Amino acid sequence: MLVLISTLSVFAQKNTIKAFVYDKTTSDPISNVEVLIQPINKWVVTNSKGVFNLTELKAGKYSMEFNHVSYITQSNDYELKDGPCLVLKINLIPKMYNLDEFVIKGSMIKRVPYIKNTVLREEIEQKAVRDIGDYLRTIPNVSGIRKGGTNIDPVVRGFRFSQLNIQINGGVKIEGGCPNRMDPTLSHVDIDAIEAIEVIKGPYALRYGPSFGGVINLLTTNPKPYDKFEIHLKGIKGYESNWNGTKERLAVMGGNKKVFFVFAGNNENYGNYTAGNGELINSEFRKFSYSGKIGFAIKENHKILFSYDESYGRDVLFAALPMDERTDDTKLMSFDYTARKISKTISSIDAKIFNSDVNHLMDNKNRSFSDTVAATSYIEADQLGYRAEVGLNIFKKGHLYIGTDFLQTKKDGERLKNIIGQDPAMGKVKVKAEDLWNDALIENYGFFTEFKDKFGTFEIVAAVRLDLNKATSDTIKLVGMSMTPPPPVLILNDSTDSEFTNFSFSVGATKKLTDNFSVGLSFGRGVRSPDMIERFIILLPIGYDKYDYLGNPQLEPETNNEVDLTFNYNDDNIGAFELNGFYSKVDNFITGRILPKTVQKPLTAGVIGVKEFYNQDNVNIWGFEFGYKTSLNYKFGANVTAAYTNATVSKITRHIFDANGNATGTEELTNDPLSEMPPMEINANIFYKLFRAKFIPNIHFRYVTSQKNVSQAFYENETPSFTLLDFNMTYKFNSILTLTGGINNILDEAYYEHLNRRVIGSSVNIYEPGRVFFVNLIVNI
Amino acid sequence: MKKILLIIATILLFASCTKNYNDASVMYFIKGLGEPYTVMYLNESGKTITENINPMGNSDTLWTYNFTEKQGDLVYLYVKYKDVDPAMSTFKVMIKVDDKMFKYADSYDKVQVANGDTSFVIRRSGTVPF
Repeated sequence: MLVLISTLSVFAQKNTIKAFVYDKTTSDPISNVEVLIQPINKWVVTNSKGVFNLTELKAGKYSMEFNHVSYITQSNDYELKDGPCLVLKINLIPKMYNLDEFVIKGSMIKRVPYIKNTVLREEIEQKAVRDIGDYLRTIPNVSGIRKGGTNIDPVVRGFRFSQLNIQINGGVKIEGGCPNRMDPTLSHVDIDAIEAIEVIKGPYALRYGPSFGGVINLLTTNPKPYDKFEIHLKGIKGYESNWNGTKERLAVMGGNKKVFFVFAGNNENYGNYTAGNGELINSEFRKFSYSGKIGFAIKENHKILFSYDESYGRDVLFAALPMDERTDDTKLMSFDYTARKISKTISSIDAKIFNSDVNHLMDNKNRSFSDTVAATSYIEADQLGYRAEVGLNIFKKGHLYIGTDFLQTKKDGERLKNIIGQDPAMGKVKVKAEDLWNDALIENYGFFTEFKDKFGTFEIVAAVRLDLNKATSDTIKLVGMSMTPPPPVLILNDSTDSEFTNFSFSVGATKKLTDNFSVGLSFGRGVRSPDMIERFIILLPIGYDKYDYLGNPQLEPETNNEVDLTFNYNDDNIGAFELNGFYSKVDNFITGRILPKTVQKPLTAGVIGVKEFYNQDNVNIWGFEFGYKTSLNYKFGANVTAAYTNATVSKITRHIFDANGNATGTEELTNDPLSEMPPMEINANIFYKLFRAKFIPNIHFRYVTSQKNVSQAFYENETPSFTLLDFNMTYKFNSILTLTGGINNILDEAYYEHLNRRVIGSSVNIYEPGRVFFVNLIVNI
Repeated sequence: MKKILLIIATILLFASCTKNYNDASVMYFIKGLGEPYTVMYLNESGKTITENINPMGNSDTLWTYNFTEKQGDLVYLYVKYKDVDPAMSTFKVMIKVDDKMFKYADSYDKVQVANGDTSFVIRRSGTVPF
């Protein structure tokens, strides 16, 4: 009897598993890891310390699958014996580290006292996206300037264009060819080639080039080594109604320990879309690209990577611009060397050299006025650069990075006008050639250092950067179209040469007040030199208003003095909160002012005058970002974000016009709102995890307030508020096949974003797409 | 099997990435002018060609020029005509693309007076639609 009782007690004995889940690269605990335990079919989630407990378990064999959106899924088998608690230590490998070892590790700081948003490929695949700029608009306080169906230009907290440091794989740059920004940097990278996007707000990340308003880092798929030879395929096929748009991507990746590769191709083909009010928007486009990357592990911890990429745009229509992109051919090549754990002192060496070559052809042949003047512009833009840094271990846990970078930008282009609306002259149809750029050149030599360390409950990050910037161009020629005989050359400046030494720095600290609550404070001074357009553009309507813009080689660099205060609260049951407030004082803000017609007449049909770039002082920008997400411990989940930016110019001159558009006088405005600032918006997502998170339906709600805070100096229009409702769902059939789909703009709302440019010849902004049904099929073999 | 899938997928992708602009047949057409006139036009090479036409008083004489262009290419037709009494002339000047009317004129655009001569000018132009 005693034997029987003893046996029963053994069988009935309940055991415990306690597991600690860490990031393999940083040893940080990972919260919100979903763990599926078989054969008992139980599902648990790690807490904020990366821990979970399982009690009341019988002895036996168990398998556990660890899932987290940012880490490679890992499965392990364990044998639980009666007796003491089984303690497990699990190290998960970050997806980005594994896929992008060259770039990510050490590339961007892990814990920072300012705002850094990271978007992973899995999140992008859940949406109907065809354009990186379009997708970025889902990040709080990131908006975009729409001019057509694609190639949306990002705006972060009101900063745009060259105020943002946009790069690929931690340092590679592409200068778009088009002065109207048909082809900003983002447009040369296919959204489906993205593994992750990092957005760092503010002038703080100084290791990756001059940072003024923020950094956007696009991380594309990199090859990874395998223990023995393997080959894999990743494919995406997507469809969107309304545009009748299709997209495809195929990537073949593989290799072994020594040699590893990725070869990929992308294709996008979209038609015109219809807005919620039934208006057809000229927005069709076609883009395709090929890329190849091959890496070699030359010895342990030393790797090299060769990358080559060609991307093409064809017949990309822009309803808001006087021209469309006919062809855009871009070639990008880079070489990376990476070394890790070199000695006790030297933790890393990273070196990169790259070259990008953009050939951009645009014309007005889809415009009615091409029947009288058919214009074609061809621009060639080249960038050559390098970046090298060494990482040092100093003090106990401190890291110091020291490095240098270089960027050379060359641009040349002209516009040919076939004046077919006039009689021939000298037996030929009249043709007029005008320079857009004239062998313009900018070179920037940078030297930087960054230090980060942990002192008790404080984490400190500080960076310093020095830039030597010089620029030159052949003569800026201006010819008055209507003057007979044409005036020879009007040179507005004595010289097209300029040279600057820019000093930038940032310092920030995070203080952990409790286990759940921390506060971060940052201050930064980011300086950037004027870009190609601001220095050398020769009369094109590139701004918000209807003016030809003229470059100014004598512009001074712009300086952003910014402070960020951030509060974070993270609780396993309540969820995570983040609240940030920021304030920027911009000195030498670069904007346009009117030139009298007696000085220069415009060259573009339909514009009302000429503006020259100049430096404006006393620009103030401020705002906030708020985010909350529920704990992943529950099947039901939600997240909410709210963001707002406001900006004013202390004093600015406004020109007054008569009914014919002639300037009749000026007036001084004080605290005039800066033009093109996005209004406040609120986003909310509600989702529910079904079938152990294999099927996740999600409802998205977006409310954008009206924008009445508009620039009087720029005669900016107000925009109305709007509300949107979207639905999307993800179904993961198995490890090979995933299906995502949904409906955007369910209510078929007719709306436009405040930053959307106006349809050419109209005073109305471009409407966003109406209702769209979409589906994406994703295959991983 | 995996290798076959990889090969098929790659071929499909690369095969889908080509697109050419379509050819279009263009015709310049002049009819109804009985007196000598000068015609200037852009040809398939984009060059301006000048021809002096003498219909020998026969206003039924037809002048045409046919060629092939790509979508987006320019077409241009300019006619300069001296007529004693232009009101008496009934003429048609056309540019057709793929046998469809693209540009049309049956009246003068303007009158030019030079060296005592009066000329009547017609000009039609555009880009071959995409």
